[in-house]
Amino acid sequence: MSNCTDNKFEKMLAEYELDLLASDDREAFELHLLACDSCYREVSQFARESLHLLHSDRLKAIVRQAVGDQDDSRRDPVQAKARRRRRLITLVPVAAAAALVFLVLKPWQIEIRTTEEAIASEDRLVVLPFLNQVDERDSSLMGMAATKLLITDLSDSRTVAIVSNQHMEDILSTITGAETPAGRVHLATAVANESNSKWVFTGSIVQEPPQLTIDVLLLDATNEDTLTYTQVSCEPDANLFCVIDSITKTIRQSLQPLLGSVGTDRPVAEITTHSPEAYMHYVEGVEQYRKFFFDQATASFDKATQLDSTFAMAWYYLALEVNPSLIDNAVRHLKRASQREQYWIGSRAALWAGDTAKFFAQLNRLSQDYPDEEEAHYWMGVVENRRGNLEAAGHHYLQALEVNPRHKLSYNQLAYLHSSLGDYEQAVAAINRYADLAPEEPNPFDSRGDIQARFGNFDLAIESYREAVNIRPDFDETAHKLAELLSLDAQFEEAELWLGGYATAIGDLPSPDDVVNLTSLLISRGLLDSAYRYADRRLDEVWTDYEGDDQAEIAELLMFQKVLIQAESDPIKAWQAIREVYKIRGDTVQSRQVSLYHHELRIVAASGKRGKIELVLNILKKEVAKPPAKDWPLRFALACIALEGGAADSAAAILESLRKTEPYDIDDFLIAYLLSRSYVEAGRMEEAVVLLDSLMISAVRARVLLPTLNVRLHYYLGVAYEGSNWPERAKEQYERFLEFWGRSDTELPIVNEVRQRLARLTS
Amino acid sequence: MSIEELYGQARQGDLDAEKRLFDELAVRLRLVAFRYTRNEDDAKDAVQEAMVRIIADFREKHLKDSLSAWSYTVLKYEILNRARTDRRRRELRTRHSEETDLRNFRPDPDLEMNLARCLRRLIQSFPRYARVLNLKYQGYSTEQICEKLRITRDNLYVLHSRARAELKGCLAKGGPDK
Repeated sequence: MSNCTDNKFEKMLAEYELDLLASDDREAFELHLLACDSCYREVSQFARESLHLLHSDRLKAIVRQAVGDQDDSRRDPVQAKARRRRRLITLVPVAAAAALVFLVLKPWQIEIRTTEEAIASEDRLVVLPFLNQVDERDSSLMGMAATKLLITDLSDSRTVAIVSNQHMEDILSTITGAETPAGRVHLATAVANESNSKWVFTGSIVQEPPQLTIDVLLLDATNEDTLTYTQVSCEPDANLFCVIDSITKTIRQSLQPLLGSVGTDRPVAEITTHSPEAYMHYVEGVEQYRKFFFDQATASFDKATQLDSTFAMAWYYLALEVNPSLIDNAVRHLKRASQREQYWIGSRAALWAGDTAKFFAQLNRLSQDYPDEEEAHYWMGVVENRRGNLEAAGHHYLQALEVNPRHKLSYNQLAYLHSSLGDYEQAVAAINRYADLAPEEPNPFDSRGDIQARFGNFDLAIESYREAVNIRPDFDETAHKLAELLSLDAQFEEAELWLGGYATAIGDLPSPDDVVNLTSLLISRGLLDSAYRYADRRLDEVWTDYEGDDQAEIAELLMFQKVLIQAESDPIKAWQAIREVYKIRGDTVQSRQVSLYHHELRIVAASGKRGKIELVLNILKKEVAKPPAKDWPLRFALACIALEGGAADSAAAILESLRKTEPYDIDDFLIAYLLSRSYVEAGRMEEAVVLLDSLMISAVRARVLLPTLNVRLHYYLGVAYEGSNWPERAKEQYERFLEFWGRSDTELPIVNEVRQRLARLTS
Repeated sequence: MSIEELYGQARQGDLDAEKRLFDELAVRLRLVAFRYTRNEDDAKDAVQEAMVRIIADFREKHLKDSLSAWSYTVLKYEILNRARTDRRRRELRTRHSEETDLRNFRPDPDLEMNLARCLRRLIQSFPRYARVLNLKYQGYSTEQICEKLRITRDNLYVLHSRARAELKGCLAKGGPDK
């Protein structure tokens, strides 16, 4: 047909002439017509003819007569109905489809039902993000600032209910549509439908400051009638605030005949800031805050308050991020905030003052005056969650989702809530919904990883964490968690990559946790000698490279790692070394950290040195006599001594009495580990298998901090399987053990033993 | 020379390029407008109004993208406005796909008669093409048409190309029997 160089457009030509292109494609093709001589020529030569083919009743009759009832739509009522509701923009399919979502609160269940029923639009206005025609990417953030400012101004004037910015953005993130005017009309009505709004507003910046000019369009979403289409600027100074005030006035004038009373309107600068520059920093900060980029957000809010020290909401965000006492600055300048924002400031101030009654009162009033403010429900849920009122918390999250079915954070919180209650399926369902809504954000994948790890699904958790850090490699906490799981799975190279690898790649120091974990990783690989020297090296650097609490923390943990290594070959030296660790914090005997104390006792017991053991037992007996009486150290020491002395059943009995239930902290893990060893050595294999299996899918942090014990879990489980007549499973565990310590740089008797056991099973 | 090239020269003060730019732009925009207005007079009016705005503002615009894209935008807004006015005047309310449905189609009797003859002849040779048109009239989408006819989009393209060529040839001869 045409000699167009672009095959895509050449093929579109046929559908264009038959008016079969979707709106985006149609507009793309029409733009192409302005540039392509060949397509332009083809289309123009057949323009009148194709129009007749499409719209001439006479020609239609000829066609229908020829076709007969082959494609009679009366025989296909579903198709007919679908065609009547055909949209020209594409809605990205999400679980809730394109219709409104209802959430039913059943006890701890999220039941998402979709409805195809038409819902009457309410007297509500949705403000779409402003287009910036001067700068398509809106790198100056002028479009975003104008949008937020207009929403603030309209909300404050109480002209009409306004769909919250968050809700509008959430809807937009699931709808694709063109940026051209016709496409935006459809986009606008789709957003209005999704948010159950009668009116929709969209603006386009056609000129940036100093002579800011905005094209504005206010539509009746029920019939796509234009209520207002005009261009707004200001004389003589067309700054952002003046233009927004003019737009608000225009909207109020348009809606007044429909609404009657439209409330009062204050100049927007009075309810935000008089500094446009400060406002731009604020807008930037809010955007960064929403994406969890807290450091950048803090810097932006800081700049805003420097430019305008009375900017209440900038202080509010700084209080959230940096220092709660800064909320006083927000309260001091309360009158410089909109009514809605005053509720937020008031609620937060009350919360930090410990007045939860006032906190809930403020947010309840906020949700009554501004029913579209889903965040009010969300935060009430968060606080109830913290207070342990899980049912109330769940109720609030679901209320937030009723207002905004795409409120991501509510899904996040619900996921953790279900996880706390032990409902894995519901937890994953909620978090997957979050991930569907925000596939480009790392947070949902991080949360999913947490939930999966909590329930022992480490493989799945690794995949989820990987997705998160692939989106944001500097998501440190996630990288750390991923590294831990990888190290437990013997995936050492990748674990090392995520342990400070990113930090060092950009010239930063590894975090204290990463330094310790890197040492732990070396130990896990059996490189005990290398690990010892690495720990020594880092200890030398710790006094110069780190400060304050970080110094003591790294030093203590590194020295402890060295203790673990030494305990493998020389328990006495390890015991002496552990006493040095106490000196880091200057603790007395009674206030020693529990984890160190446990290890000191078990290491002494393992030394076999009667003199040392008696010394320790005497000290412990004296401690029991002193108030407050704590007999657990003595009982624990006796258990360790019994275990080392071959009295495994006695050791097991004591350790069983010392055990707490899951989840394991580090001390619980140590007790459980020793108990599993007791079971194995007592020949109680089935009990050992049950306990060791549960340890394998839990206690991540403890196992990372105690790598020598973690590796031994595989040994003991192998022995337990062997003793329970499960040779294949035993082999798996021995092989797993050798993945860790098979290439050790230190002579370890246990490695030789495992090799012998494996050889025996294999032969 | 393309519109963008002419635009570049016009911005540098080349008056000749400027004239050619607006002439070329107007012609192209009329073709686009015609699809929506469905008659040439309305298309001409819409383009004229749009060109007034384009000519007035094109120097002040700091366009990072193309002049074509911006001009297209201006035209669509103009058409949108006219459609609103038109719809209010006729008290028509619709939610069909054409937001700029002006219902101003006025067939050319001669062309329509010739087309009718050629179309009847064409349908005998290409009955499937009649089904494509019929399904289009009933509001089916491209995907649905292809599914019903068990053809691919490429097939549809070929079908329309051949039918189109046949129709053009027939119309050029003045009718199917000539």
